[in-house]
Amino acid sequence: MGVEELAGIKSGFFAELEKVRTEGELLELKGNYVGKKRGVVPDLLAKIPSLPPEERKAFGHSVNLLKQEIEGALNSAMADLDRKKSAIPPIDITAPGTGSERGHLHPLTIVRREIEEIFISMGYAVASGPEVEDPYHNFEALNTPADHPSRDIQDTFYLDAGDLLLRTQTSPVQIRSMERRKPPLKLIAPGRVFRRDDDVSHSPMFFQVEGLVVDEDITMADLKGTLLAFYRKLFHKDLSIRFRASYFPFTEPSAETDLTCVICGGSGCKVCKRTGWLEVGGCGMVDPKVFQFVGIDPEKYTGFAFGLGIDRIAMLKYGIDNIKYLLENDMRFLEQF
Amino acid sequence: MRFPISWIKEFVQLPGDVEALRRGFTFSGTEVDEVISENGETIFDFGFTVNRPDLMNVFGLAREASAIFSLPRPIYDAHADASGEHIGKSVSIEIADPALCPRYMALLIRGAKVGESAPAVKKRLLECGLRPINAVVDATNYVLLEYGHPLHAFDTRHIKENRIIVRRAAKGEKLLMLDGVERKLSEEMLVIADGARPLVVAGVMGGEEAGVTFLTKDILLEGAVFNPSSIRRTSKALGVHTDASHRYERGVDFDGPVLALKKAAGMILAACGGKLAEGCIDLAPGAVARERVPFRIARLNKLLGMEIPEEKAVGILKELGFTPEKAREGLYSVEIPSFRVDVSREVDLIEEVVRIHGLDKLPSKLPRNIDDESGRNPSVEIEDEVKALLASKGLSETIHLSMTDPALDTLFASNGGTVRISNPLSEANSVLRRSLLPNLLLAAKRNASYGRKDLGLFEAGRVYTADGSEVKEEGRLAILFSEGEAARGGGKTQARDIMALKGVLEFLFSSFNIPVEFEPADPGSEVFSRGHYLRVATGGREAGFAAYLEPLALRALDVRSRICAAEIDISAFSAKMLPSFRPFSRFPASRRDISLIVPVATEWRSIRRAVESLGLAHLAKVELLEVYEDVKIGEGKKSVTLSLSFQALDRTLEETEVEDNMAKAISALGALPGASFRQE
Repeated sequence: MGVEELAGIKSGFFAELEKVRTEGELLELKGNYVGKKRGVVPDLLAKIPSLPPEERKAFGHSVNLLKQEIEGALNSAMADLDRKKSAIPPIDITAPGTGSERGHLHPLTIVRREIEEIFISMGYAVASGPEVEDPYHNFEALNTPADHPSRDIQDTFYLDAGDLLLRTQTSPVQIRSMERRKPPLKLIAPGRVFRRDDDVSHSPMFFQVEGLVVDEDITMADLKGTLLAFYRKLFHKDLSIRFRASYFPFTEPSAETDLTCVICGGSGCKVCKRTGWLEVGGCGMVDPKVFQFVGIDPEKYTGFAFGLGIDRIAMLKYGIDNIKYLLENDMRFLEQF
Repeated sequence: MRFPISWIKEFVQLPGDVEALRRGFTFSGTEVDEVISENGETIFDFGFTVNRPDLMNVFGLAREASAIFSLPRPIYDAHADASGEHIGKSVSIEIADPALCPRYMALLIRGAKVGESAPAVKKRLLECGLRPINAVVDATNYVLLEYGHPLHAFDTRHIKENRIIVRRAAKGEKLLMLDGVERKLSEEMLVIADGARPLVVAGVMGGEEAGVTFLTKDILLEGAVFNPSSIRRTSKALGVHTDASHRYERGVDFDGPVLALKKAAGMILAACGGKLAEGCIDLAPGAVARERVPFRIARLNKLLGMEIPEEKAVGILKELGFTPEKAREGLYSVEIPSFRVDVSREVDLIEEVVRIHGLDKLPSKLPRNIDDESGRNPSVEIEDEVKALLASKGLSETIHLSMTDPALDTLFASNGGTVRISNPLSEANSVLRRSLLPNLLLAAKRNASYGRKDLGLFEAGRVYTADGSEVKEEGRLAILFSEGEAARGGGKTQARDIMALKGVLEFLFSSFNIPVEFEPADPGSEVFSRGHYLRVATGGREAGFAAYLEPLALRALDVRSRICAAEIDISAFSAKMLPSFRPFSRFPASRRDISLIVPVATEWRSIRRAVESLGLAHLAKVELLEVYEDVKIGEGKKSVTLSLSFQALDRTLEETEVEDNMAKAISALGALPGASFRQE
């Protein structure tokens, strides 16, 4: 028994370890070298007592070193094999991700939701009403009698069925809400409206939001403050609004609302036609005649109403330059939102 | 409507700054749409609101400007010296329908020589967009533009029996009008007639015959007031809209004819010579006392939410031509001038004050939170939730017109009556949709036309059905899948077949905890593919369908993609339920898989039912794992692998219990027609 023999065992072991591919082969190898029953190394250790006493110590030391070396190599080989077994195969992680195609809500839905959220945060109810209306709710009760030129402002689609029409504004929801319940009221009514008009800047159908607040001390200053707060929240900007006197049959006094141009901030651009202002909707104090139609005492209660176009706001928010895109349902448009 | 600034300046000293002028008008309610510079003249194109006919003339604008800019009030001056025989000797006038004609005035000019107008008159007419005709017609138009009251000039030669009767047209009467068109009149229409026939459709347009020409010598000038609704109905019925009808249907100044006639007569005498007959005919059966309206300063401030000093408010009313008389502190009785036909109530006066005072002076306040119905109502909330869920599944929301093509509508909807639009823009959009699918299909077709065939689209909106004289509106959800080419090399591909569509519906309903049933059914229309039509029901109530569209029907519509679609009553989702907790087993489940070979036509539901109908104890789940066809299995056969899970709430099941149950299941499955088990 000599050092050369130990070196031979060692090189033999490492040569065999090189060839090991599986866990089984590794365990086999382990058994052959360090296994208690048939291992080469335990055999060597068993021989120690038969050696001359002066050689025992040195030989024992060498065998122990060999044993440690072999066990260390076996352990690390085992760990390697284990790592390989549980490893995730190579993947080209620069390729596009799979599954989970993104869907899209229509920009009009997104903007309508946003508008609703802002008004809900200010304590408003979201109301709705029929799209097929009768002339009473769409016109008469809104102080727009038949044979009056104010009907010309809105070109109307009439239906063959009954004496019915497609609502030209969301304002009839005002009337229906006031018929159904008594003040105090604070509501908005978003929805489709229809006008018999189809050219580059008009669609026969578009979307409005109507607002109505009725209480004992509602003033025109409340109207202005409400619209100012709304537009600032909607555009996340410190915008200004201004009122221009105007005429609507169902409000008195009436005003058009101008908003600081959200595109240029008021310095003048193409969108605001260099004025720095955008016309965003009509508003006013509820006309006493309207209150009389729904049986609310105009001396006791006052109220304000306003209207705004969801289409227009969506176009401003997203920089859409043609209203026609909104109802074309072209995927190249829809997938941008 | 266009008016030159220099003309207005004849009546009031306007500020020189054009921009200040434009702003002044615009912010007080009269928009200036455009400022035009033409041959050194500045012309404003005004966009008048329908309630202010009094502004549609030079003097009215001057009057308004005097209030806006606090200038001295303008005065309208008109002179015409009369001489010669009294008008009453030559013509008699009678109002047969005073309700439609509250006032009729007339002057008579004899011996005029009608020529062209002076260049200055012509220039102004042209600047305002009117064509000069002759000195008489031009004078009436000039006064219309300057003072706002429509006038009419008759050649008296054509007035039969020297008699003017203001009456309704008789049945069958016709009139050849100034535009050269002969129109049939109805008994609703007011006409100015002579002893024999109508000469003029009152307030709308004159007849060709009795008009003034270069040959006219004697002229009867008419200035009248007509009922606005009647003029509007007549104008609409005849399809004739004129400068006169535009003003009459909005309402004219009851006192307007007085100065208008005088001014026009003066102009005609100056241009054509002749003599103005003494006297004037003035029939005013509709004359009423000037209206007085109470006006409270407290109400003004209450409605506006700002304090306008009493003195200031009353001052504005005076500048606008109102006459406020103080009754007591803070209360006035305000006389309304005859030219303000739009003002009759306190709130109208409040608007007058605030629009001149300046709406920009309003402070900003907020109303209190008061509405106990605040928030969205549940049906809106659910519809929006459905939309968000579908978008999360990779579908895109569309929004279409509520109108559609009647032929397509009939193809997709059979329930309820069609709602036709009486005045559609086109036949292709002439009915209200009874189904959301036609427009969705057209969107798919349009998208395919530029290569987008792989589509998952939806719309949530209303459909409309006629029910007698009523129209019912119901909320619907429609989904359309169009199969396109799958992207290669990974990427975001999604199946767009009917099973994927069914999966989306299952996903939707389970998101709301609503049990849903799908039952194969016969499609009601040939637009759906037979054998690929599922009726969708919730709680035993029909909720809609999901189906393949018939490829041949699609080809007839020039659609080549394979398309499936679903349409669901959106109210089905309002059965939304809160999850209710069920105890679950803490013991392991025993799962057994079985592979079964059955004829290809065997439906999964019959396989599932064969197992479920056994009522096996502790059967927790029956799942379909795999279906495949292969030559090794045999022609017309398929292999179906299903898995059964058994689980008890209170213990781990014994092996023998599971095996007993499996034996029963296997024998039931084996008894299915044509079924066998795979020999491994």
